[in-house]
Amino acid sequence: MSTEFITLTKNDPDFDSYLWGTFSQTHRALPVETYHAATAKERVTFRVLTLEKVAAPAWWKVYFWSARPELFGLTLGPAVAAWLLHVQSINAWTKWPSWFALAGLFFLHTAVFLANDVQDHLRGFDRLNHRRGSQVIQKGWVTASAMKRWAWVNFALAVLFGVPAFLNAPLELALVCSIAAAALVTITGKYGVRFGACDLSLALLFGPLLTTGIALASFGEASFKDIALGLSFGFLTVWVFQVRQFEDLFRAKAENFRTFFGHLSFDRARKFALIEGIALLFIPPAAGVILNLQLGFLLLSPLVGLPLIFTLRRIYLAASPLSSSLADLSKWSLASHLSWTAWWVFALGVAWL
Amino acid sequence: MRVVKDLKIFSKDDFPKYLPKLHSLYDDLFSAGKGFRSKLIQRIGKHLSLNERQELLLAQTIEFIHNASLLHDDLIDRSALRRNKTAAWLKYSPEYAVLAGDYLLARVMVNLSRFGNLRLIQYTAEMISDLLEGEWIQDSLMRDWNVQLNQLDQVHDLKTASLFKWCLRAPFIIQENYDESLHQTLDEMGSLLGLLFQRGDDLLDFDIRNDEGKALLGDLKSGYLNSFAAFLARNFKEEQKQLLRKCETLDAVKALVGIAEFNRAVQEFDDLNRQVIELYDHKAKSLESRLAPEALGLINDLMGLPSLLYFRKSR
Repeated sequence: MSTEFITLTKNDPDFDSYLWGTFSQTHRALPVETYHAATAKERVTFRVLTLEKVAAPAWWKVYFWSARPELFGLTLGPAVAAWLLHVQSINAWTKWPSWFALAGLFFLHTAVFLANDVQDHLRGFDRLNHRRGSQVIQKGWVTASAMKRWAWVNFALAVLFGVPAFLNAPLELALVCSIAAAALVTITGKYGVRFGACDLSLALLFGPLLTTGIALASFGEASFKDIALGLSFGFLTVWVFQVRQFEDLFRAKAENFRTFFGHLSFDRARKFALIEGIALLFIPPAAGVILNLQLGFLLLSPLVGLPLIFTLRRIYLAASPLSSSLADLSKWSLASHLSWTAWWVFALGVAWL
Repeated sequence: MRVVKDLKIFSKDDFPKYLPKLHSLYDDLFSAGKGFRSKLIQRIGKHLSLNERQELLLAQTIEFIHNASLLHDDLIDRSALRRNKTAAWLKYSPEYAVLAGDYLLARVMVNLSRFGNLRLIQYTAEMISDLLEGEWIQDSLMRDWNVQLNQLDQVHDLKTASLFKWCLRAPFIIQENYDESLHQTLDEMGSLLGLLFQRGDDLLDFDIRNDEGKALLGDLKSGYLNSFAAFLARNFKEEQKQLLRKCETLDAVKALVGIAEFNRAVQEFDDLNRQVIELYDHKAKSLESRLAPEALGLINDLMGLPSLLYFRKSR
């Protein structure tokens, strides 16, 4: 039996319902081709399959993959490190707000990445590059509409669990949340992409705002040390996200996608990533000195930086945005993040013990 | 409706007689070519009732551009043979090969501007720049032994498919039919045709449906992992990739992969491309609402192309 395709343009009345997956209760539309993504001329060809043919895994498996477990380190790593930093308040760990903050962060992480999957599906990023996102919408395992609902439920749970933690330091956390909201608006509105404003906002969100937020929510206190720890994580996380932009550089030109690296030419983006990466070999140890880490851990840092050095080598070897050395950059950069996270957790954990 | 006849693409009268070796270089180049792209133009043109002047202009344009790219390509790749003859850069000189290619591109612009359809000139210039971008990026993938099929597809969309897109769209543009959705569909179809043509061509390197007797493993030997090689090596370990790049004969490749595995890879590659053909057919059928009734026969003609380009046989 031949496959059933349907091609729709943005001004077609059914376009949105196919993209959101609400056009049918019995079928799923898998996007197989996208042209002029995120423009008024957008045109998508869908392969329409029955639910049986899609053969989606159990919902909890889909939920698990959509939550992007491989990226948990980006949020939970700084959170755990921020907790361990407050050794003197360790008795407060048994208090409910700490655990509520942990649960809240988990749901917030999930909500953010689910919402991001929906947004990238609608904008075309994940339809054009099948290596991006969780791909569960593109495989037809869940509709964008259902995933949006999941995102809201997770966000509601994050708020629910966040409230008791919020009460630990309401004024300070209100300030943190306001800055985080401004950062989120900058990222979703793509403001100042050319000048790296979005990337800087990401650094704030996954860095100082996260560590100080967790410290305030769990212990009702935060200091410049939380900011130093946060900056170390934030810059590393934003670099992880930036190097993932390499594989979209080629497409960015064709589809006019707006990313910071997309605005730089390939050569300049590569140099920028290399310089940033080299700086990142020194930022965590420098933050470690500020946080009075044991000398032994500081001496270990060149070893911890090895995955980062391997990642830099792959970037250095890339002759073009299509070079295969860039293909697994996501994994390598995540490994770099993981190694530094493990370093922080061990170093601060040993101090605690 | 007219029948497709042989067009004289290259005429010595079109080029100055005082330039040494130019005529003989072009003679060598054009005489051995199959003129597939110009035949495609004619195939489409007969349904649109293009006049002879329009048809010749389009056929010459596409063949000049294609042959200019071959002249430059052979020099970049240091290929010694073109269509079983000594490549122009070796037979004449690298300088003459570059100049002869440039001169063909210049003639294209002269001919098109004489005709006076600005949209056609603009579109042709865009196509040439796509072609060059594809060449440029392909050069960066030389000796990249881990390159993946989807990355190569992106290169081939610029390098190979841009010409096919032009073949499908230019006959409409020359008739001043600028219907946006028609051109969008033709562009997408050209993209798929280019992909299929390139993948079919890459299979010839591995002696699959190689009726034209193309030299084997040419890409691999020159340090380029073509689309089928990338597909074949998609699950290879590093040491297997090292061995693959050292293969000098097809038997060596088959021994490395195993004959059964090699045949299975060919079958899977064919299945993958059958899906592309299905998608192409879907797009071709959607032209029905966008073509004039007298041009509807074009759909059937277009639907026969993927088999011809990929499986190298008429459907």
